[in-house]
This record gives sequence, C-alpha cells and structure tokens, in this order.
Amino acid sequence: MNLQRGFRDKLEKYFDINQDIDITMNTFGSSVYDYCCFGVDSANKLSDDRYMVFYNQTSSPDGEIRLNGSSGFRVSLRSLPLTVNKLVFTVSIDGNGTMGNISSHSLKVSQNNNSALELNLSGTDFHSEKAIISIEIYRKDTWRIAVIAGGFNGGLKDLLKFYGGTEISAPKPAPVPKPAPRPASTPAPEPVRLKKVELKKGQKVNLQKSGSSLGEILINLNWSQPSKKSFFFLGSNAIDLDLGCLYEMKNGKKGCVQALGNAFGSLDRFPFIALDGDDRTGANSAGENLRINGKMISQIKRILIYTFIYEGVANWKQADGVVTVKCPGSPDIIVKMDEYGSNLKTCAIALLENQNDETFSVEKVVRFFSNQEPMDRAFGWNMQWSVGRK
Amino acid sequence: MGVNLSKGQRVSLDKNLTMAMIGLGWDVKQFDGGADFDLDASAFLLGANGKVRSDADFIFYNNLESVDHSVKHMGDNLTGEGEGDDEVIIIDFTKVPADVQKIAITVTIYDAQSRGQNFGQVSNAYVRVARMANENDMNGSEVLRFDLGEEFSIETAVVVCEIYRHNGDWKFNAVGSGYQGGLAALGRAYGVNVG
Repeated sequence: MNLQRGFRDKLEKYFDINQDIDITMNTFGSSVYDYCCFGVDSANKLSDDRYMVFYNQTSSPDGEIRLNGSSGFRVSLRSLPLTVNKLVFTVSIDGNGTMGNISSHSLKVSQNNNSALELNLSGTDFHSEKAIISIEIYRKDTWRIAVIAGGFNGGLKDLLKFYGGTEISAPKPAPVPKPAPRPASTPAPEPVRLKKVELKKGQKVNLQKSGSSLGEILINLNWSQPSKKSFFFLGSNAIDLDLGCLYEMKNGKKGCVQALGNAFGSLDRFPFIALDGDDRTGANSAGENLRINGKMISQIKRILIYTFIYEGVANWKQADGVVTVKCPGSPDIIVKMDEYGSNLKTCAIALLENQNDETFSVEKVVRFFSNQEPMDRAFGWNMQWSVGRK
Repeated sequence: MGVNLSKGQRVSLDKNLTMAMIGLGWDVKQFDGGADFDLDASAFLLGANGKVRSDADFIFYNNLESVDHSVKHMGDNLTGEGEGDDEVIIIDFTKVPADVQKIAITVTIYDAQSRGQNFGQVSNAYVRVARMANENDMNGSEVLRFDLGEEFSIETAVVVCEIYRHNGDWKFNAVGSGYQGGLAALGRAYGVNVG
C-alpha cells in the first residue's frame, strides 16, 4: 500500500505488532543523508537519549530499536518501556543541500521481508528542509503510524529542539580519516564534557603514532573515596570501581580483561592487553591501569573499555572517577565520570577500533548498563556470561 | 471542561439551552515549508430530507449569517494562530425555523488539494459546544468537546457533528465522518448548488 503525507492508521491492520517490524529508509540525491530513530515520551520530549538510535548508537538499551546497516531499523514495539510513547524516524542532511533537492525519499515498513506500507516522495514534496520526520509510530490505544514527511530548515538541530533536545552543538563527526603520515594532521581531541543528548558523545578520534609503530596504550582509571579505608575495613559507603575491556581479535577470538574472574590478560601474549592489578579502594594514587600492546594492533579488531562498580551503590558522582587514554604522541583523552547520575553499575567508556592496522580510533561512548552482559549485547560481542567473584 | 465525546456518541442538549457557540480549534503548522493550514467551519441548515432548503442555508466564510439570524459565523481564521477557538459559529436555538430539522457542522481544509494537505497532518483539532448566557458571552461555558486528533487520515472534509431535533428537544451527534473532496463535495451532498 502506498502511503501519503498525513496518512494515519493502526499498525495492527498490517502487521503482527508483537513481532519485530522493519523500517527502512532510502534517500537519493547529491547530499549525505543520515537516518535516526528516537523514542520520545508522552510530552513529545526526548527525555532519555539512550533511545536515540543512529550511526553512533546502534541500539537502544535492551535492543528494542536496532540499526541494521545505515538506514534500516528493526523495532520490537512490545519490548519498549511505557515511557517511550512515540518513535520518530528522521532523515537529516549533513552538509549542503535540502530535501527539496533530493531525487527521491522512500520508506518501507515491513515484517519478515513482506513490505506492506511504502512511502515514496520526491524533492517536489519538500522545500528547504534539512531534516525531516518521515514517519512516526506512536501509542494511542494501540500502536499507530503517522506519515509526517515534514521538518525543519535548520536541520537535525532544530528537529531535536522540537523534541526538547538541547545543545546539539557538534555536527556529525568527520568520517575517520585515513591514518595520516604526520601525527599533526589528526584533530586534537577535546576534553569530553558530555551533557544529555549531545552528539559529541559519539565523537571519534584516531590515536597518533609516535614513530613508525603504535606504542603502548595506557588506559587509566582513577577515582577518589571520601576517606581512606584499608581493604579489610571496606565500609558500606566505599565504592570499588573496576576497569575492564571486551576485546575481539581479527581471528574472531573474543574475551574480556577484568579483575573479576581473575582475567588479567597479558601484554606479550594473547590477548596483548593486560590489567595491572586491582585497586579496591581508590586509595592507590595510580588507580587501575589497562595496557594495550600497540605493536600487536594487526591482531586486534576492536576493544571496548568499560568500568563497573563491584562493591557499593552505583554512585558515579561520589566515585569521581576519571578514565584517561594515554598513547605516546597523542594528547590524553579524558572521560570524567562524575557528571553522570546513572544508577546502573556498568559503564561502557570508549570503543577502540583498528584503523588499517596502523592505529586505533577512539570513540567516546559513555553508556550505562546493569552489568556486562547487556553491554556485550549492545555492542555485538555476544559472549556467554556467568556470575563471577574476585 | 465539558464532556468529552467520542466518535458516534449522541447526547441530549439541555432543554434550557437557548444560545450556544460551536468552537473549532487547531494548531498552526509545526514544520517549515509548505502552506499554513486554513481550516474552515461551516454550518448547513437541513430540512427533513437532509438537504438545504436553499443555498442561503449554507453558512460559511462567504455567507456568514442565515437569513433568520439563527446561525452566525464569526469570521474566518486562515492559520490556526492564537489561543482557544479559531473559528466560531453561534446558534440561537430560539430563532431556528421549525422546518430546519438538523444543523450539520463541518470542517474542511481550504485549498487542500493544491496545498497537499489533509486532516492527518493537522494537530490538536477539536470542536466544542459552549453554552452562551447571551449574545455577548463570547467565553461561554463548555458543554461538550470532541477531539478530532487521530480520528482522521487523508480526509479533507469532516462532518464533525449534527445538532438535530428529537421529540421537541435538541440532540448532539458526534458524527466524525471524514470525506475527500473538500467543502465542494460536502456542499453538493447537502444539496447546495456549488459553482
């Protein structure tokens, strides 16, 4: 069935709304088109930016919304929390051009590869918009679809403002540049100061090489405690903040390095990542260190750095944790944890990805999870997890 | 706030209701580009056969008052701008001629086809009935309200409600039927010679 702007109907007339539904958008023209799906609350506000799924955050917390490829979204409507009242599917233009310049925009809603609803529009259906809402899927007694096909000349920034988002100051990060022969050509990373709904969260920079090969990459976690206590008198207020990582090798081997389960790794042997030890109170001024052997980069596909609270309540503010990524020749990349008020105990900090076996890109993530397992799922590691102890 | 009606619901109006306003509201367009939404409220005074007695029974932006002064349109709003009711039709029940059995209130989108508009695109449209203490009481006290949101899709004309005689009293029917073809199609359906 062909849809037109203004069309509204109940989704259950076309699909089994208890099963996954696919929404695929395609836009052709001379610009770069980005696709996003985000969930807003009953006040039409984007109050939880974990439900903003796009190229830098490819899944909502429990995988209710997943990005497949660059423009296909798979949604599990029945899994969405009640706080998510509406899913908004958008197209935005990065750089020059407007929706009035496109040759076509299409959107298909399908299930099990059977496309039941299709929207086909061209540039003449638009004006000077730089970001549009293609459709909305919303709760009103049941899940309904509305074809909006309208938007804002000010682009994604205005669109998010419409949904109560704030300060989308940074545009999409530039595509990861090829590792440059001269370190100076890599953009200097800014200190990370993340607010809600800020695209900077997905900012990605490349580590620089000092000399011909990548050196040792040091990831340091440090945090403070209200008062120093020895290990044996670990009080109830104390927080044991741990550092760890998930790794995936080129040969497909996966695992994790963390104190829990005594998986300390090794720098010289597989997995070429090692944890220095376990500071259980924050009293050790050096904190905890995770080292990556940069010489072995050709064997490593990607590494997800995370911290988790092993003992104590999830009070990130009180822990005052700071994660620093140090690589010879690169400015330090600092992620401060005290700005975050999450009550979840695990935080994915940064994703390191191999760039042509020459260097790692470092992407700041800062997403909270209840434990390692949902984090693993969100980033597609898909390992088996069981309860461990130190 | 008055009673919220849903589509198809019928209620009796207060026997003592002599003058009421039918208020129509909608939100201005939310997105850039494209034309404003110009919604028009109209009233059709219908005889027992469901048709107008003459073209003069069609009360709309170009014919603001019935000859008997029973139904009066308070003027055209072109954008939905402003708080509260955007268009108002006043009915003085004491002046409605005996051979008028029914007053149909419709809402249509002006120039919908060339503007590519329909009711699925309009936000927060409603119609309400408010009791007026006298002809100067432009606030009124709301008796009924019928929200049009989500009810419609690609329609460009809606018969919102009918106020009809039943055993000597007036009743209100929240019809909420959508049509395509705009005001011209509705006018023809009610027997108006639409030019």
